[in-house]
Amino acid sequence: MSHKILIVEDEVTLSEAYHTLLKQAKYDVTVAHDGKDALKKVEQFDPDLILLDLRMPILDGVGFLKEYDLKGKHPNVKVIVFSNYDMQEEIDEAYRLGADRYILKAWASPREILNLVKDALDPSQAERH
Amino acid sequence: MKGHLVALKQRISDLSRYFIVTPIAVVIIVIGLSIVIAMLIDRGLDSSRDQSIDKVMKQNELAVTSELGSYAQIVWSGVGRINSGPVDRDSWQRFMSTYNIRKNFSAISQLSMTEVVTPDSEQSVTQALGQQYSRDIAVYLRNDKTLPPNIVAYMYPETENSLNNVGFDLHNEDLRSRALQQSTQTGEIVITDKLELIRNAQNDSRVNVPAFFMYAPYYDTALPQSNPDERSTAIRGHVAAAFRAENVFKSAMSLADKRHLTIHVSMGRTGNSQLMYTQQATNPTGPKIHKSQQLNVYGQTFTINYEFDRDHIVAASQQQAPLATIVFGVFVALLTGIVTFFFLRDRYHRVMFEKERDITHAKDELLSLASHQLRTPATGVKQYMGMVLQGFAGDITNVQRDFLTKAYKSNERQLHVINDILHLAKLDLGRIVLAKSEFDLADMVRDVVEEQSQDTQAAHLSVSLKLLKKAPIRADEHVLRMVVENIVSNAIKYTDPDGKITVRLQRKDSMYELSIKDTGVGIAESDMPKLFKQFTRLTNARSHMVPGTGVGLYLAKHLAVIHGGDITVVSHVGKGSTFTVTLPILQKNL
Repeated sequence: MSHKILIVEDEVTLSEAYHTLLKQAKYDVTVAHDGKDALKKVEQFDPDLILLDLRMPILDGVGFLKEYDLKGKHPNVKVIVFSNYDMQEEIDEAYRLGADRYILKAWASPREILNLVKDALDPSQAERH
Repeated sequence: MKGHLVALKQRISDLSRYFIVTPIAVVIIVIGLSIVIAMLIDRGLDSSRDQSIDKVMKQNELAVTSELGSYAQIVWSGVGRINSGPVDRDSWQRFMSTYNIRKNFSAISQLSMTEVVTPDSEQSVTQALGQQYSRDIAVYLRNDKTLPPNIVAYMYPETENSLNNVGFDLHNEDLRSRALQQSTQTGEIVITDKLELIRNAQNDSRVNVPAFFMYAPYYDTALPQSNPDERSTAIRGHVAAAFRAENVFKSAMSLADKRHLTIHVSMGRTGNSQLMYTQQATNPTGPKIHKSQQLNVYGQTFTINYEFDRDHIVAASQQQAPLATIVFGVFVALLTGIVTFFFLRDRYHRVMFEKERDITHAKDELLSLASHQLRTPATGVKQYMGMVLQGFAGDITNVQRDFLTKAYKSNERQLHVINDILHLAKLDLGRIVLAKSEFDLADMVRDVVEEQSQDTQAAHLSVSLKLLKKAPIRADEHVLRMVVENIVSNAIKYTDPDGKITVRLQRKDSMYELSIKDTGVGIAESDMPKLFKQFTRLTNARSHMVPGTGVGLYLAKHLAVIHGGDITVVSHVGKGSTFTVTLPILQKNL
């Protein structure tokens, strides 16, 4: 059974690209376009991993994490925060709320993203870059 | 944007005048004010002077009048004595001696009694006088007017010379006669014009000393004296007092300032005024104020002319007050001007600083926003191209791979540029994020050089690497990479074909020293200060965006500095430059 990944990203260009990539890598993928939408989708979708963008309208990444209560309610879900805004405060906040990883979208090539996802889901099986 | 900058620069230069013009205006205003105040004080000074002068003149008037008045008392008392009973030589002496005039009234040189002689009485009068004086007395120097002789009968004090004057007809002299007649007709004391004292009427020796006489009439008490004619009929003689003018006025003016005041006293009606007495100032200095005073006393006009030393009328301190005010005013003005200048300049600088800070802030916020917006599509390109290149879209031909790789790299550069713009923005906002990790500096340098190898080959440059085998460091790899990339690409950019670039990595104490030497165009001495400093945000950012890196030297230096290191340069125009990056091996916790 393949892992379930929720992509939370408001930029359609990028959400589509990531969706394509992860689907190609045989993951079960769903996309949400903002925090509020994401909260709705997690109820039904119940992902193993969330690729979470920070800057989004309506409800942003940090807001989502607070609501989602990662540490409390979903301790087994992995969250990779990826953003094109590298603000130290946001990064710290995300980690505080239980995120596993932070990457800058602009630096991560498709292979690097895949590696990160694999690594997060199953550390032993990660392909070292 | 440029238009706004120009307008802003203009406003800034206008404002800078504000802290030059305003203090100058303040100085001028304060000096102007102090001049006005000085003028007012000066005017006040004038009025003080005037008051002072008035006071002196009034004092003198009073002194002269009361002095003459006290002499008049004596004369009238002589008249009183005559009216109260017969007077002879002895009784006159006795009476007058009680006044002790030598001591108390030293201005009086002689007090005499005269007798009017009629044709009927002449003989008896002269005989009576002859008996008293033990010699023949006759009326002599009889007047040629139709007036009955008015002869000297008794005098006090008696002197050898004055005794010869008994019998002398005073009407003989016009000046005396006039005064005597006036006195007779008015019944009042009259003061003569200037006369010379007669020492000895016999030989007409005169004493050359300004003098005047005071005459008081005595009448036949039985006869009416209610008008001039009646008085002329009733007149029996006069009491005469002789005065040396000097003694009179000297004592009257004794209170006047002897150092800075010259006084001239004249007697006589206008046109006929004669100088009687001068009191010369002993220390006359500076400009003078002239004043004139007329006193009408006892039928005589006294003209007193004053010459005040203008600058000594009021106290010296008052005198200098206007000047002192101006001097003080200038001092205060300069002080105020200086304080104003510094205050305004400080405020100006503060305002400018804040303005600039705000502008910088706004610019950087804008930069941030724009950069983030640019990142997204570039990231999109990266993903899709990456997927194709990394085999997620099926096989691709070599040509396709080649083209796509170039496109991918180009996009990567773009992402770098955007990233660096963001760093510039963050630098000013103070928000650089250093993500430190342990890596090998030598490996990184080697990597960077290799990355740029295409450029070096294209530019026909030879590159020589002299690196440490191992150079472990704890730093932000990505940031340092940017720094090294910048310097290396600069070396390539500014070195002509067939030139040489030498990259050396050494260790010196607790620092790594990375030097990149080129044989390029070099940097002029005059440009040195600007090298790491000149930074006008957008303009420089663009001009320093060398393909592939895009980090200005300003940024590079700062990034080195926040690592605890630095970048220095040695350069000669036409020979080349050596940039040296120093970095601490062990990082202090920032």
